[in-house]
Amino acid sequence: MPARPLTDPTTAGWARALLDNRQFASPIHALNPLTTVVLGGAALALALSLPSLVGAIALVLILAALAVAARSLGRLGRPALTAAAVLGGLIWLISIASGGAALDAARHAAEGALRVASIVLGVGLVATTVVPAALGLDLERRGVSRRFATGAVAGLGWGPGLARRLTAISAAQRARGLRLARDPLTRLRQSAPILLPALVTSLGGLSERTIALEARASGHPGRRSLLWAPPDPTGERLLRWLLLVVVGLSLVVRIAGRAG
Amino acid sequence: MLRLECRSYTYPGARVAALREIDLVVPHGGVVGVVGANESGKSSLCLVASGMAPGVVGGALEGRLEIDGETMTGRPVFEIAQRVGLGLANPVSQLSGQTLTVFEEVALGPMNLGLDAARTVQRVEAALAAVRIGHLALQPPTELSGGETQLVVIAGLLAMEPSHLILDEPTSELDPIGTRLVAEVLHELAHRGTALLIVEHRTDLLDGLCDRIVVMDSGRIVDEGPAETILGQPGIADRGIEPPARFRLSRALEAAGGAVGPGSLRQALGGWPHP
Amino acid sequence: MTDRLELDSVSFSYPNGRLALEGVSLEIAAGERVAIVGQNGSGKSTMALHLNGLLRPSTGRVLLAGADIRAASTAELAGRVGLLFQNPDLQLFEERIRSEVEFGPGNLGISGAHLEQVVDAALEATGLSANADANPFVLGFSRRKMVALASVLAMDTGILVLDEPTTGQDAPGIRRVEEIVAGAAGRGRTVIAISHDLRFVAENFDRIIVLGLGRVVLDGPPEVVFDGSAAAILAGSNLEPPPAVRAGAWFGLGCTPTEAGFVAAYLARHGPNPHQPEIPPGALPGD
Repeated sequence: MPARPLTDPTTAGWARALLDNRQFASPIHALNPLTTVVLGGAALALALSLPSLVGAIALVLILAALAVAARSLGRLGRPALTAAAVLGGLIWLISIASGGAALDAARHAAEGALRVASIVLGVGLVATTVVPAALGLDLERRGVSRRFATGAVAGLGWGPGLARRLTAISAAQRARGLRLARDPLTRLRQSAPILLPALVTSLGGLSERTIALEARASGHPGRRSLLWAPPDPTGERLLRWLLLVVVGLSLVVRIAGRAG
Repeated sequence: MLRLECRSYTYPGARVAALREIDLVVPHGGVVGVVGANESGKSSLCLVASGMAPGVVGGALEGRLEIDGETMTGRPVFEIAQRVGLGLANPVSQLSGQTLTVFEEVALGPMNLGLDAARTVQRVEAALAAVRIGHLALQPPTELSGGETQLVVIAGLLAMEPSHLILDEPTSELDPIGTRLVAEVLHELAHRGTALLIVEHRTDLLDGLCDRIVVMDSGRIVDEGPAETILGQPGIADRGIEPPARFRLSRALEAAGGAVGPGSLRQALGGWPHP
Repeated sequence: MTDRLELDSVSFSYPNGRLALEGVSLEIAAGERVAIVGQNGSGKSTMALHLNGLLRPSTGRVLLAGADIRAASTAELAGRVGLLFQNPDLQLFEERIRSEVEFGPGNLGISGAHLEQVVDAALEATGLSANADANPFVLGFSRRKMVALASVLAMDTGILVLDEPTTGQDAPGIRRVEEIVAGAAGRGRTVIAISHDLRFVAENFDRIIVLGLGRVVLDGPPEVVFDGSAAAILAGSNLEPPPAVRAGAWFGLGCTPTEAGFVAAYLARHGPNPHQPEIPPGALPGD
């Protein structure tokens, strides 16, 4: 990334530069991180509560379209399809086994498959487009305590780092002749040489990072004045409220449907 | 002036003290080097002299850390951190992982202290200039070389405006370019009057940078004095410390019957690392 | 026992598209002591990972004793090529040093008295015999590196590949690594070391391969690689010759890669002068 020459070296100038400096891979990436999180949460809630098959189909199509817009469909497509196939198959089997009609079983299976695909797509959208550091700043700007915001950031960043470390550890142990077995029981016995170094490296890095953060006053209480935070256009705020309303309605209908 | 008087320091859960009978002084604007074999207590000294032990690490300290006559021991770590900064060997594990640009990484300290935006920007600009990485301000801190990352860490510490900076093996995990980069900045900082306490195996780096050298062994300070004197002593090799090249070569020549002094060799070797 | 190693036009690109090795061809005979140097990003570690099959070439072949290793798994190759990683914490997991060092040879099917023998020898060589029952995690980083080195040595492989073996070591630690290199070579093993420490390289290796941007840029003995004529190439890789070389150049003694060599060359030129006072700067040629 080329460093842009700073034309206005004042406080406001730097704040603007930090904001403008961000580059987004897609319009979805450019959304306020809270909006994306609400979107993912709404997808989850709707996937579980939408009353009809038509609703489930519509939800999946909308999320797939968003995934395309976010250029993540490639990465999310396979996990979504796998989850859908597995759950759909299970539901179909159970339905048939408990004496249900073939058509009913197929319908239940299809609904289940679509719902779980929606969940994977929704959560995946958040995972692939939200930058944890930006989310942390946004939450802090809204008054969330810094410790909580930092915790959210750390939690989100944990996945990819751990995956990389496990790969490196697996390579190091294979270089010492470890043959990774095919059967799960032996794999379990082989977990120590893979998992223990992972645990130790994450703890070790943790103590150095803790010291480094304390050296920069991470223990200082009180609010910070932020240099910048992700913008929050009115349109997105309205969208978030709309989503909450839709989810609320869907839940009400679902509960009423059950009661009635 | 930083003064550490430590009768003993023991890590939590340890049976044996890691440090004993320490009396360390780092004067204002002074540059003090610390040498010793591995596990001689150098890192423990850095942790205690910066207040990180017992403040963050825990453990039992019998003694006192004083800066400019004020007692630091017992104060909250964020207060001590504004008087003395601590940098460690691995640059990447010292990044917060919470920031998107070098500027924000360096701004982390001032922001944590609750300083307003204007003062934060002021401190960050000064810190970036001091380590000469202004051109990296808008880069992601995770995409830099090892040496550049270490400079970001040092800038982050300088943004706290400490009077003393303690660096525990700042170049041991860096390649030759990174080492040179950091060494040049250390010379610059020393020149500007920042008080430095530097632990290093590379005695060539300390040679020409430090006024005084402290030698550690088994948790104690066993020798100290002017850098030239200490580094020139043949005995330091017995303590597991590699003498600087000019002393090593000069001694080898002398043993074989030749005679070229370390002074001439300093010229021959170009006064590495080329300050 | 020790195999010949060959890289035949090996090129390698990472999944993200970065070309890390380009057309690397070289041969390492059994028993050679070879150092691989170059700045970060030159492909040093990438090349090391090809030697035991952890990475497979995008094009080209890696041959061990004349046979392509493509079909062999890393675990199978581990008995012939031992690789020491830069970060020991990627490997350590046992509670006792002895158990940790037994892991590698154990995987190779070594047991009983033979196992005890190789483990004892490895612990002796790395200075850990007294600590064999200690927990590796209470040791400092440099000693944990020694434990990792011991665990590779105990596998008694014909080829040893060491990635930055001296980083973080104090002077006695470096001496130990040097003795291990000499000892292994003395037993006919091939030793390949990646290192930033050019003094360590010049003093202990017969052959230096300089990598730059994924290509072999220089390949020869220290006297050739550190000779003044190659200075520009070294500088291009941001590598600086060790003190002995610079001192030799300053005094006009030709290329003297080792400190003993510098001393000998100086005395050969100027003769022994036990009572000569310190020669003032400016009095010698090259001042």
